[in-house]
Amino acid sequence: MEPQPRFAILISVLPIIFHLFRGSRNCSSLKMHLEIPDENRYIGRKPDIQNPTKKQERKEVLDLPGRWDIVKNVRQKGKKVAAVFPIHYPRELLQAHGIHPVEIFGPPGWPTQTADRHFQSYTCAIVRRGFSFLHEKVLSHVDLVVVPHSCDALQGMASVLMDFTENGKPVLTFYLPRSRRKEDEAFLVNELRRFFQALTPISGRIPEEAELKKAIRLNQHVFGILEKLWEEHVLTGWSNLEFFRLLRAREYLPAEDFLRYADTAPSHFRRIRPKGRILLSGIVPEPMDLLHLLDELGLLVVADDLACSSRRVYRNSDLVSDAFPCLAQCLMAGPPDPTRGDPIKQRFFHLVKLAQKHRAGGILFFLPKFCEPELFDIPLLTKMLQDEGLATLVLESELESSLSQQMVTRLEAFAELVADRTEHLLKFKETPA
Amino acid sequence: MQPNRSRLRYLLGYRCFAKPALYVRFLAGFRKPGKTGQNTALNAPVGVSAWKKAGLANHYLEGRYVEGVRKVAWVTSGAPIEILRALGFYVFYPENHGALCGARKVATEIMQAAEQQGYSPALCSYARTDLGSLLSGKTPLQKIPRPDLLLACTNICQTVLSWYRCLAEYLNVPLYLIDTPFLFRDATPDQIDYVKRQLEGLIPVAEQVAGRSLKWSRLRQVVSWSKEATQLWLEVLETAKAKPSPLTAFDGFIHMAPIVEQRGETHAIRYYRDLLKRLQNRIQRREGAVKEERFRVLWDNLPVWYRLRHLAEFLAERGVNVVASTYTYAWAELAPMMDSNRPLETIARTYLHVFLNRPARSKLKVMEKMIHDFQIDGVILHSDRSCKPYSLGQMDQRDHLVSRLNVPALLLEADHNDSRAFAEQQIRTRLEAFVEMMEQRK
Ligand code: SF4
Ligand code: SF4
Repeated sequence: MEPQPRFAILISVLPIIFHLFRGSRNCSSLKMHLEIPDENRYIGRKPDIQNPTKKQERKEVLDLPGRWDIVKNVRQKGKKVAAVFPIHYPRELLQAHGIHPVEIFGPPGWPTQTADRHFQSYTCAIVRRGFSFLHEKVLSHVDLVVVPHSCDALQGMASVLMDFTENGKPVLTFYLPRSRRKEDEAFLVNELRRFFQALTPISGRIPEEAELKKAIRLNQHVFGILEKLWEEHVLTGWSNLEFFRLLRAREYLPAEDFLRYADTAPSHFRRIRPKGRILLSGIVPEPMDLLHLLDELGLLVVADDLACSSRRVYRNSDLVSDAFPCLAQCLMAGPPDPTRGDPIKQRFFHLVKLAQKHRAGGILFFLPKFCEPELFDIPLLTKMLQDEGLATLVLESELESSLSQQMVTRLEAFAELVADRTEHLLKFKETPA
Repeated sequence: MQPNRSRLRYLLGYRCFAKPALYVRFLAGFRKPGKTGQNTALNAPVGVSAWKKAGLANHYLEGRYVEGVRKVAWVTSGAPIEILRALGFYVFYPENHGALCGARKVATEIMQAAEQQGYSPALCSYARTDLGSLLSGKTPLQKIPRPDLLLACTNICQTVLSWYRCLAEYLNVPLYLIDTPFLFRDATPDQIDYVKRQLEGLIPVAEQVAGRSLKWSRLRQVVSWSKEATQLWLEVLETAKAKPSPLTAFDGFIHMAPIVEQRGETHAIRYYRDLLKRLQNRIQRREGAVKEERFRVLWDNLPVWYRLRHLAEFLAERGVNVVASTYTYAWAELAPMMDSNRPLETIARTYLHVFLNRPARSKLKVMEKMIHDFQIDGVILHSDRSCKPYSLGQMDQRDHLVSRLNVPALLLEADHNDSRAFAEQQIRTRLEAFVEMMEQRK
């Protein structure tokens, strides 16, 4: 019997309606984020509170101070503040000079009109939003701007900042060599010295070697704590959103404050029951809605390869040599990074090792649009990872204030794929050789 | 291929047959001149003798046969190739190959092969063309020699490093990096020393690949040839200071092939000597490249390879001669820095100071000098969608030119190799408005 045409149409549109409904569910769960003004979202934004009874328990984490509260606080104490652009820079040298670094990654959704007068539309959002934010909000609160030469886009931005904008604040650049040979390390020692000397007119002092070593040791301690936090996160299944809020507080908190939060906050974190485990790669997980969605989808980020996070963990056990060579060794020891010219194979091995160690089923690459260093690696890297049985998803973002519906849909499909792969990897691991 | 078979193929196929045939073809004038000069506002461009032209074409021809006979290096356009030349490498420039594909209007098709494999359309279109060619095997050259060594130098951009990392992976050959810190100020001794040490590091690597030792006398010779060719190239470009200019920047884009590809070889010197002589004759005859030169314009950034002729004619019809470009000039301005008596140090210094390794203010200064020296009426800044190191900073440069120097300046958005980024109608309208603006200032 022929089906009735109307009935057939209804049947055929049902999946679409179902899909839209699912999509809108996700959107409504993200709605809260859309309603928060962009500035507040970035500065000490409150996370989603699903269960009001637990509000008190999470108070410590929820009360993370905002970036600019910290800036005001630090300046009230008579300290200088540096606005720092991504990615690698010698935080220790700033600290030894008593200058507090506050990093600028975006922020998401920040209007780009100011930058649009200087940069073409094909410049990445990290530069366009960061440049606008710097001029509209940050410059009056800081004593200097640091622009590491991470890529052509930041190079262009530093050049415009120095040559064409009259901001009245010194702009310091920092060049991390693009390889890890002896001559690169020797150059880096000199570059660190140059950077250190350039800070003296700003801080008004020349720190002692002991102060430098102290700053190096402090940061090495922080790296150790970060590693422990990751181990615990993987075992416990803390909410990605809360965990990354804590990790990223390092971008603006003084080290001592960060350590205090790292010690007390996690016990109050919400937990998720993971359906799948993933690695997160890219520059910065902004908007943070991404992490909220991963929580909702049951995807636990078990390790990251983010420029704002683990790519800047420079572990070095040998702290005996002089401060500058020691710091150079630390910086040289960071994990593989496309902006540092590391071979793609090295990145692949690094990611596979992380995935195997943490039994991850997939890797999510969350990249800013127009980010050449990242985009060049993607075709080869994703192919190699897929050949290893890992699911991969590449999302390009312009650091908008929320995720697009298309991204949400793709992440949902990815979550299902990863759940299958994670299962498979678990079984695979349990099978005796 | 077996070494002996390669050698035989090289000797018989290339030396005995293909190369003589190429010269005969050129000398017999089988290469017909283009239609330019007959019915257009442009006079026929000044060329070089057929022999010199054949010498240039021979570079690519040899590439088809060279594998297994000479060691092959793929290098970035700003890389210090003198050491490789002195060791007898055949040097291939993927960027030039990209430009060739662009000029022959096949680049867009080739780069789509890379895009199909996941390379983003936001990436440099030279890189996409090169990777597309590698992945699809498509090239107007028939055959590209496989490299034994990759040499990347970051003095033009960081993009080349990302690009060559991909090549190293696909081709499984060593990649040697010459990292040149960006010069926000003048180069410091540390920076020069850093580059010099990397050059020293390149020598054993290249020697091992080449299977022979570097002769310093040979290196000095190559450096002096590089310097001489660069100086001649500068003189060639400076002929455009004459009014009317015997040369357009569009001709310059074509004639720059030897300074990029054959720097450090005698052919480049002979080529530019010949060209210079012909240009000087043209100046004496007071014959301009554009039949009626009313406006003299400076071009900033890479050319639009797939619309070179079209743009030259479009502008010439309106009396515009684009007499100079920062891009061609970038290959010439550093000639005085080379010194064959101190080869490594001066190579380090020269290659650190290239135009693209200096900040926007310094580029602007070069433009200001060119505006003065070439008596420029207006500036076209090609905002090149996929070349960020050249393009970021142009908006401020344009504003400065207009407001402080009172020179009409146009920011023209396109792409050097990707024809999909060329909005024909919009560009025509903007160029016409630009010409009108210059007209009003006359
Ligand atoms: S996102 Fe990529 S292109 Fe943009 S500043 Fe960061 S590294 Fe550079
Ligand atoms: S990005 Fe620009 S400078 Fe770099 S290779 Fe491409 S065209 Fe050349």
